[in-house]
Amino acid sequence: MSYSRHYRPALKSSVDVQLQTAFSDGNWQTVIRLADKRAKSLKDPYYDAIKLCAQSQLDTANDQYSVVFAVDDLVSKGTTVKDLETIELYEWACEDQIEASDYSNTFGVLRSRYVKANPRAITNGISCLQACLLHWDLVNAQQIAAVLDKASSNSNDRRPMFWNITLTYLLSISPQCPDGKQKLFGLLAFKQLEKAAVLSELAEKSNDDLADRGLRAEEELYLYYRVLAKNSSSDDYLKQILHPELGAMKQFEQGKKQLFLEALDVFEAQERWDQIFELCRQALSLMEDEGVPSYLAADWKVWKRFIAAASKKSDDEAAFEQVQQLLQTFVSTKSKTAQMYKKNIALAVLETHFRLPQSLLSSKARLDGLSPRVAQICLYLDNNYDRLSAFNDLKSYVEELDFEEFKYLLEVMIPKLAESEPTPAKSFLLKVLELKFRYLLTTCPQSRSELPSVVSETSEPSSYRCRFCGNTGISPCTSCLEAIVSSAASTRQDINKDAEFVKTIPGLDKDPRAHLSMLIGLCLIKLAKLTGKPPTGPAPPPLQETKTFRFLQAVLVLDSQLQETPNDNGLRLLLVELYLLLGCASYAYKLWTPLDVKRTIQDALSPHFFDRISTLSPSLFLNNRFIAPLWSYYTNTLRDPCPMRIWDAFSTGSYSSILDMTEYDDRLRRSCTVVMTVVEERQAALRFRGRLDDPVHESSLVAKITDDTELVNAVDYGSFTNLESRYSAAVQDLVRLGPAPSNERSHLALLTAQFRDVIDYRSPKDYKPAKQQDNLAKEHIYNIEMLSRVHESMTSFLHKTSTPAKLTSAEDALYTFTALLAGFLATALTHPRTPEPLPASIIDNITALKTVLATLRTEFNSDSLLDQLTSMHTLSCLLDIAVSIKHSVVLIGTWHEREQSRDRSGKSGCHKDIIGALKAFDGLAVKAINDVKFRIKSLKEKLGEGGWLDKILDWTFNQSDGSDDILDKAVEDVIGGRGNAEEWAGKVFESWNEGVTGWTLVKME
Amino acid sequence: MANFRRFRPDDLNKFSKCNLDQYTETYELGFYMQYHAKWPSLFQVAEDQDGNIIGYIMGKLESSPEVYQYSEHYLPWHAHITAVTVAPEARRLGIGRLLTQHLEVAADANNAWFVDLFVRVTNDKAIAFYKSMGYSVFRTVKDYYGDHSTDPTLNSEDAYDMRKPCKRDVKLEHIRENGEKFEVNPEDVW
Repeated sequence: MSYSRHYRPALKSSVDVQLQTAFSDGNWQTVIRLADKRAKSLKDPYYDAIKLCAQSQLDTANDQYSVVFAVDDLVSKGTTVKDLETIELYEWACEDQIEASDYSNTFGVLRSRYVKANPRAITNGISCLQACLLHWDLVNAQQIAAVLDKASSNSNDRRPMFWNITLTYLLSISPQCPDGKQKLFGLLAFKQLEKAAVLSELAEKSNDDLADRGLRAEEELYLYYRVLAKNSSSDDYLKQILHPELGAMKQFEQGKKQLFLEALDVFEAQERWDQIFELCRQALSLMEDEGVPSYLAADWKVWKRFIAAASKKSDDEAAFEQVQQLLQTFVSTKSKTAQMYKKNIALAVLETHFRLPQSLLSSKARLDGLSPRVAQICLYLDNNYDRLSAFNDLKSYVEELDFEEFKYLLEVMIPKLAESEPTPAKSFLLKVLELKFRYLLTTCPQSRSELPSVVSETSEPSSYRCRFCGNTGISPCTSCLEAIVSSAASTRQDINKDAEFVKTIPGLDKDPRAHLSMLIGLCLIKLAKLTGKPPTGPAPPPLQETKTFRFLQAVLVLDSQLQETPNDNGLRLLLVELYLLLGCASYAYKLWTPLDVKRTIQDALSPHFFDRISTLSPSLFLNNRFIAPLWSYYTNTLRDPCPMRIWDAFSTGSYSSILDMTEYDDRLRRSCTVVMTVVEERQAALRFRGRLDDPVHESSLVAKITDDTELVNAVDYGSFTNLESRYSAAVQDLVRLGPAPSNERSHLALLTAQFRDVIDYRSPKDYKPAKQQDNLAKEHIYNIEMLSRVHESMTSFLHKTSTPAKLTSAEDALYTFTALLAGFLATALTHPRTPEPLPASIIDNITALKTVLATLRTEFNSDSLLDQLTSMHTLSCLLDIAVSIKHSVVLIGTWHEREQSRDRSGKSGCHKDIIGALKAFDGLAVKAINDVKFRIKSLKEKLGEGGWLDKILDWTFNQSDGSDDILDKAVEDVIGGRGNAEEWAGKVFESWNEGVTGWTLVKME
Repeated sequence: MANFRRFRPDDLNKFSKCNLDQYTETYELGFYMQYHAKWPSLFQVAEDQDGNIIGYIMGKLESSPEVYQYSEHYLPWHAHITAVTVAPEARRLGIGRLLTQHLEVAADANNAWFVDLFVRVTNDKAIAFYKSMGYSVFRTVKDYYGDHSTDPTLNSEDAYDMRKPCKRDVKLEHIRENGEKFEVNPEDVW
């Protein structure tokens, strides 16, 4: 057992009452005196340990560290501590003094030695194993497990054997593994499992149940196959997974499909389609006792792989005949099964029609334009039109249709379906689906034909003719989108007029009006020309060069819908992103809060709101609880170095869970959301405090992140509506404030925080070191090293070709400027103060800095009030640059003055041209800060003037050239008249006002 | 369309369809990990074609502490359904039923006597659902919940402890008729 400071260990029962009492009372001086006496009289080192532990509780560093020296001594001299209680006492006493990462070199070693010396003390051995695992010391845990395995070989407890194997394998894939030993440990784990598999096989053949060192339990088999997949050839894996006694099918026949699914994953990665076909065929052919097919394998993924494998068989016709025969067995009994499986079967039938070989298709030629594929889609639609998932189920098939098929489906078949046995529900729901498919078509390449360009190699978007409506323009087709908006709005009106149908809506999967509003919103977003991030370069401000009135209309329609269907989480999430784009951070927060994103799901969902939030509205952080839940989640979850609950998995023998949990824990510690949590909070704190006391590298959440750490983005977009084809960007990519969290951006943000730590640092006023000059010299060296390191690291991230596309243009400017400035400062602190002019490389650096700043200023400068209100992110980055310059000037200036007074020869300090350049930068920074101040002041004044509701409504409507009035009207219809838009305009205004007011509180220096 | 399989920790990054729903509780990571670590076969998920989790069930295997073995409330080795949820968009497809059946199979494989669960006495829909699957009320736990789902003036609500016998309980010794009338206190429930 490992003890924390809250759980003071009990002393051995053999210790006298007087000492016990003093120890439990924390009477440390008495403990030291008594323990010293007992140690001398009893010659028992346990009492020395008690004494040292008591000393560790005293106030002086000498006392506190004496126990650390004692432990170091034990480790370095190769001493084996003879009882576990002593180790536990030491461990408790050292908890604050020895870093968890040093465990493997200290207590891990002592525990390992103890177990090796006492192999029969199984309980103590398990306790040592647990302690090592809790500190994630795999090296010593593996050694302890090996001893326990050997010592327990004759016992009934099979766990030590599999602990040993699991830990050997874990070590082989861990960075803790000694260099060059990865393969060896991997092979060792594999060979032990292979031997266990052979023993199981032999036991099976001889009907011997006592294969104690064989594979028996389900989890043992899973471990075997996981290690096998990693450490054997694909042929060996194949041979074993098809093993008649241990293999996937044997397990499957016993009702356990996990191994079967894992085997399919491995085969798919290896493109072993014949094996996939055979495995799926066998699994899907399994019958229940009653003679009906077993549904254990009837998952969608299995059907899909089965059909995909059939299409890749050399004799695909025969393979498809088998597929269809099997499907028929399920179709004939599907009435007795769950709706979910009926759906899977129906989709498998559909999938088959889309993958049938050409030769089989020929006998099913088109009939009056109705192809077999369209006919199958219609069949599915007819049975499932009332399902919320109907569109998503069919989307991938519909987008595969050629244009004529698509058009026939939209114009002929869906209306025909609506007319057969018509009911209001059927006709409305099919109309919604028709409009969604029409929207889908606008995102598919088959909807357009490219027009030859008159200018070769132009950077302008290509011009297309829409094959559906015949209009020309850029993709997606504006006329089609407008037609969809009009049609959706009128369908929505028709629904509202049908009181009988409206009454039945609560019984439906989802209110069809919510679908229509979403569709209208998406069309308006596209009509606003929001294009998302460019494929290569940084993303410009999202609302720049867009038709903002269409964007505002989209927000209005969707907001209005949310008032009616407040539990529509997909809609709410989309609106959160849209309001952030609009610069209404406080209102976005109001929408975000009811989602109740808390605890575990924060890692995947919080970036929807929190990513870049400090650049939009730092004042939100003035609420202490604002980002606290994220901090609290990560602090608690990542506090221990081991994966959470890992010992539970060891103690219950859940070996596959151990591997999964280890992988997940590793990923969670590298989450971009962790970095976002730290960076956003620091950024906001800087806004109000100017500088921070704790450097970012001391933050427990990111302390172990190095440049080599691959940070991972795990944002969950599952709840977003996705009506786009695979050829088009998903809606979240269009409406996000900038590119999604990424490894590159997270590192650049962390490095920028480190840069700020260096340039912001000021010694505390009351700090008077004894040797001040020495201290300053050390600080100088530290600054040069840190600035050079930041410069090199940032430059290397920025030079990756993929990086610009992962940043906004303002971030690109900020990080590029920071990287250049860090390099420039390092040069300023090291370049000799000579009369010679600066070398060209430094001049170039200065020029580059000026250019980057000028570029960002251009982005910042805008006369449009709406642009100004929606571009706080740019303002924030500009302010960061300006403040960085100001602090850099102080850093260099202070050092220069100090050097000048130290050495009056004129040879120390900064080069005069660098001083000159810094002065020029300072001027630019002052100007930028004044511009930012002026912008905030001016926005505040303008927001204080009246007439904002009219202004926002004017920005939203009446902006078109006349021909678009139909859309204005459609939007008004959806929201129930322009009067209803006033309330919305009030919310937008209020949020802008709150945001700008917050910015007035920001420290600008 | 759906696939049924064991839970994997990275499914937590795909929980939004289920856990943004107001009726689904989100727990700390340790809670999910405990179930995955100790009872991996009783933590099952349903995923859609994009890998989003559209339903899951969390269950455990346990018995009352040995010290209570002579108590009338002693629970022998059994499976317990801790949580079951289905995303709003995936309802009416029988996913909850299929997940529960998967857990029952795992309970049988682990030699459990029965599967049990707690449900608010006012949750008629859930009670009917479980009854249709062969569960019956074994006892009523008075004031089990610290709030009331329909009456905000009340600060407690009773629970039904519902059970379904596993294959091992051939003589149906672990269920009873009229369990609604058999009342126990929360401290009698472990």
